[in-house]
Amino acid sequence: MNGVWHVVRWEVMRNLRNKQFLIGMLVTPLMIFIFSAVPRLLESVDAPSVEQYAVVDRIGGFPALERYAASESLVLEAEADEEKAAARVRTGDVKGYLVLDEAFVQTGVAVIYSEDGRARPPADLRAGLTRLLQESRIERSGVDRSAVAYVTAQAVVEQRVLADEGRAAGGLDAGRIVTAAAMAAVLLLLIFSSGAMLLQSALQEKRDRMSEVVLSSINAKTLMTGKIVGHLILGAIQIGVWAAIGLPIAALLLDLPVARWIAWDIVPVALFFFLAGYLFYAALFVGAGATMDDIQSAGNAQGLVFMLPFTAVLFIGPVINNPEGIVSRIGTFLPLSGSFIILLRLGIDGIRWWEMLFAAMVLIAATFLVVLLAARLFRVGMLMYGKSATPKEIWRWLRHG
Amino acid sequence: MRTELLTVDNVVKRYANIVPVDRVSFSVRRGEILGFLGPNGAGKTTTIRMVMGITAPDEGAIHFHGPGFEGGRIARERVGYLPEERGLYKESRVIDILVFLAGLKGVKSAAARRRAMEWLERFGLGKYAKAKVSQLSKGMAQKVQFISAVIHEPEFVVLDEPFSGLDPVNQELFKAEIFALAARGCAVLLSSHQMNLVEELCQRIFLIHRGRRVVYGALDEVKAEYGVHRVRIRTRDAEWTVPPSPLVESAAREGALWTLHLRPGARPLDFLKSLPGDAPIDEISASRISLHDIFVRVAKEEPAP
Repeated sequence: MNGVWHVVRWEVMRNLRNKQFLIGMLVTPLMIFIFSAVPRLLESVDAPSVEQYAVVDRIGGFPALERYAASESLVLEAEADEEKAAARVRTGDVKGYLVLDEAFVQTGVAVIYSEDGRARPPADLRAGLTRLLQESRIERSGVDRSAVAYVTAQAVVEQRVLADEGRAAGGLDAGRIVTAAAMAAVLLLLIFSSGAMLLQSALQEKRDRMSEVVLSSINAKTLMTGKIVGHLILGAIQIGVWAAIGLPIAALLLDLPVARWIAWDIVPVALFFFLAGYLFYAALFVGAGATMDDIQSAGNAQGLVFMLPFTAVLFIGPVINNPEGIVSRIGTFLPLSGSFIILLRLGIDGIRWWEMLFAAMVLIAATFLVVLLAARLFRVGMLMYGKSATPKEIWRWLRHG
Repeated sequence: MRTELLTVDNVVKRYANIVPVDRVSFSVRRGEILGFLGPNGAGKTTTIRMVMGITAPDEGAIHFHGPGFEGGRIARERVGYLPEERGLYKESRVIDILVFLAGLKGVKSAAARRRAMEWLERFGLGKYAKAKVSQLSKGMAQKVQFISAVIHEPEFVVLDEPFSGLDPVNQELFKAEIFALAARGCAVLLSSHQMNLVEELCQRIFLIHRGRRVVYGALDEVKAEYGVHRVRIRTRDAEWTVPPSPLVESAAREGALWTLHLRPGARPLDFLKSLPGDAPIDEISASRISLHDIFVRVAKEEPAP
């Protein structure tokens, strides 16, 4: 155990003194901030300006039109007659004006007068006029106004979870979704950032010809465990720094309700699957790293290991459409995707306790097996210099270790 | 009488159809420097890795003797290793690496730092303690590697090609340190291709070839076993040839220099007497066959006479 902590401390301190690591840790949140804030900024720069139109109402339809065409970028103002409306257009007070009269109801044509005749009415105004026209014509045909409102009302769609014994019926919980989605995203990020660092670390032992010296002091499993735990701690430090920078920005600058988005009730279970998922992939990556001499000379098979976390992506659609369907359950119990899918299903409240228990057992067993096999690869692979292992060699090491 | 610290007993290592080490047995005593020799690919590194507990033998046994070696098993904090394939973490500081490696051997951080500084000062590297390894010359890095193998004061140390790439001054420095290790009771297993240095340092040698023991014993006894003498003659007449003699087993000529190996049992003095009195000889020397020659004979699979 002492050896493990020595390696952990060495890996953590070595990276914390490394400029590349420190720069990466600070630049990543900056990049995330840029990529999340800049689109918003551009959106606000390019947002349509507020357009004002005057409406000369001769049929009493203005209040309805104002309601139907309500929009942040459109202002309608009633005007008593066309002369005053035209004067306002000429002074630039409004962009254009239109007349609601019998002709509009009869022909369905609304003319917008503007300085150059090129004013393009916004979509909201077109939609509002259409609805007003339809209602006016139905009303003319003798149907009561309240009946018209009843008939033309738009449907509202709500989603509810089917209530069953012991579970309260209710809609989707934004807090659970955000918590679970954030943890899944951080897990993916951690697997790739820590996984890449782990791989580099294993390669560095070989490149710097240190593996034989280190393995004469501690065994391969101790070295491997120390590296995995060390990089988990480095990953946690990274995430902690990112959270310390990102959460205040999200709460204070972007005005996001961060505190309301943390669903504490799912955090313990989510944390368990988060750690199990990390350990599973960390062992897989460090085992793969031991079979390579450098990333460039590694074979396709080794390279493909880094695509495995994306297995979860295959299940996202089916899980969202039918969280308790057969495809969703396969994704839950498959160790490659299990931790991600469980986080997702926790978020949408679509997982039962026995599924979590079974998935946990499968994931623990699979992680144990991968650690065992990775240790075999690590023990032999770390002593091989100058070439990456062939699939045949990897198979032999796995069998005989 | 020196006591044995390590015994290697009939050890075998197999990889698929290859047997790089086949029934190898030897021992290393406390305070002794054992020369562990062999051509490239003879099975030295495989044997050393088994001794160091990095890999396990398929057959046979490796026993460490003495307090601290529980059940005869290796105690990693009591052994040191300077492998042939060696390096250092290039982007780390010298002092940090030494403290880390000493820590793996159970030396507390403060003691490791103090010992590291003492060793660095002794090797003239005190001012490089906080330098990155990438800033060191090859010789400097080799000194740091040597320190990392002995900083925890091991009872047994394996030095695999410690002199490769060193200039004569640093070779002398390393020789002195290796002698000092043995003098304080450390058992040293020294593998090197520099036979002159092995002859100077080792009391006994073990020569392995094709995974098997071919020579093992005290250096003098081995030389006696190979028991021939070598005579070198430098002539001033390029046309002159050494007259045929029943005492000579083989003769080779390179320009003005003749190298002759006498038959087993033949005395150099008898051979010198057999030379004609007017022979145009400038220099003449006679010595026992060198370790280098024994090594070459073994590598070429020439039997001992």
